Amino acid sequence: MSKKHSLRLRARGIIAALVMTVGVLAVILRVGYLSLFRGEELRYKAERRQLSDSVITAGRGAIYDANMKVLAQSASTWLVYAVPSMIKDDKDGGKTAEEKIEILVANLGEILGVDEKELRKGLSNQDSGYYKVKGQVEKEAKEKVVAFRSEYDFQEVIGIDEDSKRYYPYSSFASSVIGFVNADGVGSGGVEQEYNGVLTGVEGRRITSKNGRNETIGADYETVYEAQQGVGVVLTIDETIQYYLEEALNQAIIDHNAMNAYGIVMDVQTGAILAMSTSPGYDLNDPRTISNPKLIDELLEDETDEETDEDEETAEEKTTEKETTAAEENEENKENKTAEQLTASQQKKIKENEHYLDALFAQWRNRVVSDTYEPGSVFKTYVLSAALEEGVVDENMTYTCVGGIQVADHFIKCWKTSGHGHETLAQGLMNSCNPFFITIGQKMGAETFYKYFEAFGFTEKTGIDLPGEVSPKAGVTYHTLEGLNLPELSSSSFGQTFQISPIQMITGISCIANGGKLMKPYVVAKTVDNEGNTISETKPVVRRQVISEKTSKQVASIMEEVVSHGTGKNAYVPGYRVAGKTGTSEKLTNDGKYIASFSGFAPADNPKIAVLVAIDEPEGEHGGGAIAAPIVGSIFEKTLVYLNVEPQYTDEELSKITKTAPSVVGKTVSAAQNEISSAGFTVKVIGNGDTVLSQMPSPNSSLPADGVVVVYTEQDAQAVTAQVPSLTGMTISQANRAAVNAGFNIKIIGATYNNGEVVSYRQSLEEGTQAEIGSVITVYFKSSVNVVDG
Amino acid sequence: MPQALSKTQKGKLSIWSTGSIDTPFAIIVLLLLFVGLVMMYSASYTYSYYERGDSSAMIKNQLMFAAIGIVAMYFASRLNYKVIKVLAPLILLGSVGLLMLVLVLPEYKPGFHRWINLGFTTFQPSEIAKFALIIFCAWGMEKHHNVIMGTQRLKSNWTKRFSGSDLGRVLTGSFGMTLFYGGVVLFVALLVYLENHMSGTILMIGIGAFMLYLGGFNRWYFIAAILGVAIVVIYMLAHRQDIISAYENNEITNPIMKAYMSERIVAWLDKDFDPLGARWQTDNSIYAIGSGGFWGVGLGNSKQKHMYVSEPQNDFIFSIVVEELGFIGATIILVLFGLLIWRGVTIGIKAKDRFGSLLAMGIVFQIGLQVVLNVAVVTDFIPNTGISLPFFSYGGTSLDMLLIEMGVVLSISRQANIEKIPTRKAVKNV
Repeated sequence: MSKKHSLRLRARGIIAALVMTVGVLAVILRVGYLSLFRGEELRYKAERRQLSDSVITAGRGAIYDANMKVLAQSASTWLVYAVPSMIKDDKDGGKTAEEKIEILVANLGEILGVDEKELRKGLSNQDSGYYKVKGQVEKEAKEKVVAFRSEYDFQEVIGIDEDSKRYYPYSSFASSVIGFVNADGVGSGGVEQEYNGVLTGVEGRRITSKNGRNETIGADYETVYEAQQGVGVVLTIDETIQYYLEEALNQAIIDHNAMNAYGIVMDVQTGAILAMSTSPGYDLNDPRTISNPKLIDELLEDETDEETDEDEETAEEKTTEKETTAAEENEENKENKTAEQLTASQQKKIKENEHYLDALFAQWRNRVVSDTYEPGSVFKTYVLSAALEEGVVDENMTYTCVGGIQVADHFIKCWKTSGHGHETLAQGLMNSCNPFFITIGQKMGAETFYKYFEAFGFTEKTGIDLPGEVSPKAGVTYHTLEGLNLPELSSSSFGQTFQISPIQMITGISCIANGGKLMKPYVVAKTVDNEGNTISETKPVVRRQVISEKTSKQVASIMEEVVSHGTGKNAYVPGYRVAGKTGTSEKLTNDGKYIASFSGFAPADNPKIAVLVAIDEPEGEHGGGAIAAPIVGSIFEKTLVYLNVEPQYTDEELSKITKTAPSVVGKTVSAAQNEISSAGFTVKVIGNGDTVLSQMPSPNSSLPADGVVVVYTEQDAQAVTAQVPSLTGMTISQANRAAVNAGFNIKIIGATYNNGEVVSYRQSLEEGTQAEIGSVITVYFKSSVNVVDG
Repeated sequence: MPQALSKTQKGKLSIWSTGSIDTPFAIIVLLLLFVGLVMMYSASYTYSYYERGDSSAMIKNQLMFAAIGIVAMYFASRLNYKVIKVLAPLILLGSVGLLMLVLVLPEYKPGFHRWINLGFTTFQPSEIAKFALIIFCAWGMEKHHNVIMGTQRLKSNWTKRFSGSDLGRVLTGSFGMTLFYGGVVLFVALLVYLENHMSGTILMIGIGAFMLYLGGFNRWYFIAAILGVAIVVIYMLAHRQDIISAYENNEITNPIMKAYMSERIVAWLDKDFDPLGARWQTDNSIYAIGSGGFWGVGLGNSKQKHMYVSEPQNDFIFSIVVEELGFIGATIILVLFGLLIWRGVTIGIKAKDRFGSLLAMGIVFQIGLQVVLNVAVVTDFIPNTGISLPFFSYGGTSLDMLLIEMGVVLSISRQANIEKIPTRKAVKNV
């Protein structure tokens, strides 16, 4: 090579190499720009594609009653999902993706009971990496899915995750207090809502890596944040007392064909709610089904009306046919009342009704805390308390009722238009005399009245740990001090022209009962962990001292007289000193509809529990003393016995008291006859044997003093039956005689023993049915006179 | 011009060459081959696993070809490269024949006439054509050096007939050479273009341009060409939005660019274009690079190779390299490539003859061109073309081709006037 030429080549080679070097440096800078300068942004974007974040559900805490009976519990269930993108044609001539989808649809559809059309649609979306087939799958079905999955080698197509389902073992029991959990796992209503935070726990997370085909790759890439389990909640609600309350309220609804009935049982010393119910309840396991027969009727009637309208518009040839159907359906509507008996088409109709949602909310409403009502005469106890506390009146005060009183330019009538005549203070409350209390109210003046109205907590929420407590509105639900002019003060003095909530009412009654302390009511006693160890406990909160102990005792004894001799006599329980007050109020929103209520506490000398019962829109009789008081009486009786409060009988009561049947099994017939007769019972011997093999009623059963005991003396003797007689509409002695004559015993519930005015109104075994002789028939009595209140 | 062949055959041509090879070049080659194989394994095992059920299926194949390639490299280094010079025109003719053959053979992959299937393996004639073009240019630019430089006219029995005329004088002078070699380059490029092989076409033109520049052609041609490319790129960047919207409205009617080419250009101009389609690979590539950061996530730990970067062992292997070895690893590898180029250029400068010089430089510039274009594609610097990364990308025949070329450079180094470091000493120092 010539030197000149080789120099030129050398120069060009170096220049080209420099150009190439610039190129290499440029791409190095470019790599640096991406990996260093934009590294964070790009890594984030990469991770968004790579990482899949799944939630580990935290088990929801259980809800227990005061005795740790489970009222609500979450059980592990399973969620079955599919990965449609993994359904592919087999490579070597196996099944095609379409064939696989058909197999999946047929099998999953059958095992899980899901709609096949929906499922096919979901699985056919090949771009999707996740399709939820069904949640809350029970263990049994889940295992079938697992078996199916391995049989067809669908490991990559079908996935199973943990899921949970809420169970309410007592279904409708205490439904308005417990509440339910909605589809999103969030508590709705009741304790489930109020304590949702602690019950829920903290969700965990599992972060896994996926490849570009949406498949999970190696466990090395997995990060797990464990879930924190939810905390258990123990209620103050006692299952037994709640049962007594609900049983009584449901019976009252049936007896009086009422829309609703609600009640509260409160521990007067602490403010703990022992029972609380808005009846009828609803099935917590199926909260979206309307269960109140009255609501069902309303919804179905609506629908029927519409259909009739349609009928008029349809072509003539179809009309006859349709009318028949409509008529049949009408027939059905009348016959079938409970939710379980409804046909599928009726269920559908209900859900399509435009008022369905309103009905649902009405069903879920905890009326005890969310509704207000005019307290009526029950409120007189507060007026009395305030007047005694302030010295406006004393126990020796008297008043003469002439059947009404002139207030400004209105004459306000007493409910007893003929007038109560001369009354003492106690008699004024016993008679529930309106003019007397108007006079007291006017005497104490608006300022004092309002001071106590506020002190008893009627202008504020009680602060109960339940959602949806109604907030009193000044000038709307109650009169402000400025608004308490003479007419308002007068009407307020006997409990009208303003509204309070039942929970405010019972809290106030407890305050009167417990020596004047206004408590904060509560339903949750404590929270517990999985092992049942207490995490936190609710301490009773005294909001303030409203009246003195002395006033409290005075009012309690006057209220006791209301029950023993006044309008509340139907709440009387032999052996227990019950104090209470009846109330009846007309609903402001609904003409001619009433709320009958009774509030009271017992024992009057050492109060333990307070009970409020209100019956909403009863048909027929609507007086609190007539229909609410007997219910309260039965609740007091059962609850006080359950709470081991010793009964203390008066002599009069003792003579009427029931005796227990002696045990005579194994004794000779004559010895048995002697023993039974000497105990005051009548004996009936069945068979010709020498010794007693069995007896009816069983030993230690309570019987009226002159009851019947039947003894069987032969092996395999058939139980002798007789027809149950009618025992209603009778006095105690009439009923007892009728029962003994027919060979039965009675158990007396409710009513008073101290006069002959009580009349039976219900019996536990229906008239005309066959029953074994000697059986005990429970007969319910109530007083029919002097129970009418204002 | 086969008649020219006889003139070079002066004296006796020995087939084997003696002298020692340039050890630094050999070490750089072996280092790149080793790192390339390791990274090929790392990048390929997910794809191998998902597609073939055996995560080492691809590396086994590649190792086999690497072994063959090292042997071939050794033989190429022993072979006197002047043998190649003698065969240069034949090699080009043969390779043009293969490029034509592949166009009439059935498609190996649908839509692409690129591969010839030999049954046990496939190969791309364009891989051979790249080498053949370098050889032919080196041969011709040595042979016609004086004509190119304008100090001589082409003299042969054939050219005598028209060299008297004005046109003849021009055609037998430097300008005639420009037309001829430019024509050869464009003709080969056209054949590759007909394969639907854009990246091959670009490479062919790039290699040709380098060879012509080294061959001593007027520098203004190259300056003009560079300016021309720059204007096109600037125009496209300036009219980014117009091009994108024109594409989206199906208004682009370009006789040169096929549909998939304009789509890739739009995908480069518009970073949000079709993220699950046209930009899927590029997006995932830069995500991988970004995930690597400075130190990388560690060898074997790439997540993006799990079916995000599609076929991570092929053209986009460098993104996995950056993800696993980080900016630092990527820089070291690119510097190694830079050293390879410089050492190759040094060998070329010191080569005994012009043919050896041009051949050695042409070979390393071809590698340099591929590396720069590949990394530019992987980093979304230029539109996505399909250029493989030498020593790294999967592909047995192209690896062997590459190693043979390396052998040729080593063969040139044996006769070059270069300061030799005895291999034994060099190995000791390493």
